[in-house]
Amino acid sequence: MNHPRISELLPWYVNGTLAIGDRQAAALEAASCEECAKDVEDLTKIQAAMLELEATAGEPDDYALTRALAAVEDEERKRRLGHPWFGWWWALTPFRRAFVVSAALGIMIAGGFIVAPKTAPPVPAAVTDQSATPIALESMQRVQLEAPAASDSGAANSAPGAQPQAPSPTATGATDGVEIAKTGGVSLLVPDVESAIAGLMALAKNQSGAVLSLDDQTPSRAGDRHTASLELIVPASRFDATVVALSKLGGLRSRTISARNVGGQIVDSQARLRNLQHAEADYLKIMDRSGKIDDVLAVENQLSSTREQIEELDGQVQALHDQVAFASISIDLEDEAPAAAAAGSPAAAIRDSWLAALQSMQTFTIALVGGMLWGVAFAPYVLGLALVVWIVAIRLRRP
Amino acid sequence: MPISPDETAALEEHWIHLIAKGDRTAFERLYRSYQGPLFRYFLHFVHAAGLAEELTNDVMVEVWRGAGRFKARSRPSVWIFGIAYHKAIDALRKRRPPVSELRVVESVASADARGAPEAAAERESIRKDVSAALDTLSADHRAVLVLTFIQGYGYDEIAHVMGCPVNTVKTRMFYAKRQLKEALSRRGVRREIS
Repeated sequence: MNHPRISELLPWYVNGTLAIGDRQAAALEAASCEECAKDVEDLTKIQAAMLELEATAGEPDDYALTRALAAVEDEERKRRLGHPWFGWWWALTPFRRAFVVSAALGIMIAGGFIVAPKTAPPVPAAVTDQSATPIALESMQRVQLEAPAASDSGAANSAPGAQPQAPSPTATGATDGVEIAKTGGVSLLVPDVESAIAGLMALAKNQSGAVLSLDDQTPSRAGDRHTASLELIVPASRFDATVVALSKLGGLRSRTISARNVGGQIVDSQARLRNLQHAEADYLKIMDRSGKIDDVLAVENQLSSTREQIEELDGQVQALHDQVAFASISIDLEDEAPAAAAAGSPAAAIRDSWLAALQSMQTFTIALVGGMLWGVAFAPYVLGLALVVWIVAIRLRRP
Repeated sequence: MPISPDETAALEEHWIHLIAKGDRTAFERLYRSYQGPLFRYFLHFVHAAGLAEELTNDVMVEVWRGAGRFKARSRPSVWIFGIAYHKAIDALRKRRPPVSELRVVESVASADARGAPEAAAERESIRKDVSAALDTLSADHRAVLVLTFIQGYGYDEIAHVMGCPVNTVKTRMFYAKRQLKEALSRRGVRREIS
């Protein structure tokens, strides 16, 4: 009845591990069943043979323990890295470790954004801050003054072609032997370019100057900025005051002033002019004497050439005096805000959104790269801190 | 006075508890207790002394690593041989032993037989036949026989070692026993066995 169940337990009856009840049942079965008795006998012989096989199987290498201890040391070193502070790290899959590293890098970059000073180029809001303007002016102003050339003193003031309406040499910045021609440039961000142009024209009029040129670039698309370029001339004596007044019309982006001494050029030109005028008088006297037709024609040619040179030199001297008397200022104007989209146009709205998105992406990319550079710059500190934490963790490791 | 199995198990549990705290002396003691049995156990599967030693060390390092997780739900030896069984199966999956490595076991047995009398020589003949017959069995069937007749485990402990149900152990033993007898019969030792 119990034969199938007991027969399958006979190997463990032979090795003596059956519980008391099964052991007794197996003993009874072996005593009453010839097949089971033979099975027990076979299993006993098999066990004896296997135990003998085991006893003669040899022994392991004596140095196996040394190798095992070395392996344990290696394991212990890994376990140190697996301190509770860092155990979570080794429990992570490589993918999750990469995610954690990325997140840490992101936090570093974000931290870089928060800590980093504002190094971006001047933006309209910052430039229109009038309190910051003096510092900006000081840093941006560039004055170029050429070295005065040697010339005859007082010769400049005796130029015969000097314009009667031009300011006096002292007023125009001309000192002894020095004739200064000033030019300037101002770049402004203004709330409204149209209003700024009107203000510039009024300023030029008040300073006894004039607008020489105007290039007004009205934006054709939403998102573009309204820009304009003007050139003013003002009396040299009012140049400085005009530049200062211009700087107050909007946010100053840059300002340049250059001065050039043209006194030497004027003196040289005037000397050459006087010589040519003397030569002209001599030619006229020769012609008055009359003579052969050929001689008269030759003198006439010389006289014509001399007059042409005199007029050319006279013009140059006059232009140099004008440069000294009147200073020119080039002005670039730019709207602070891009032109608004046309109202009620879905296409324009989409286009503007797209442009705004591109602008944002550009800004974000620049900021991201900048933040990453900050992260790299601070990496030694972060790595140093990590090293300290790691060393402390090792010291806190179990003894 | 010999130590009873229960006392041995209690001592080994204590060592494992110390190992979990990083006690290398306890590890050495446990290692010395299991070095031989594990080495010979692996020889039944891989037939190469070097690989058997390597697997023995792998098991003991695993014991060091997992000592803190040992909950004493079974005897320490069952836990350790459970690790060893899976190491052996992994080793067999990765590497099939070349025939030349079989000489390792055979040479040891032959050396033992040289100085033996005739009865011992006959026993050695049976040993060789049993060893050769065991080699014809699958790893699972071999493991059931080794764990039963050499390590002396009960079927429930073998089930724990192999990670399978008790009935599976009994079934494996049934087929292992039958195949072993057939193999021995083919080798002409059936008369000895029966």
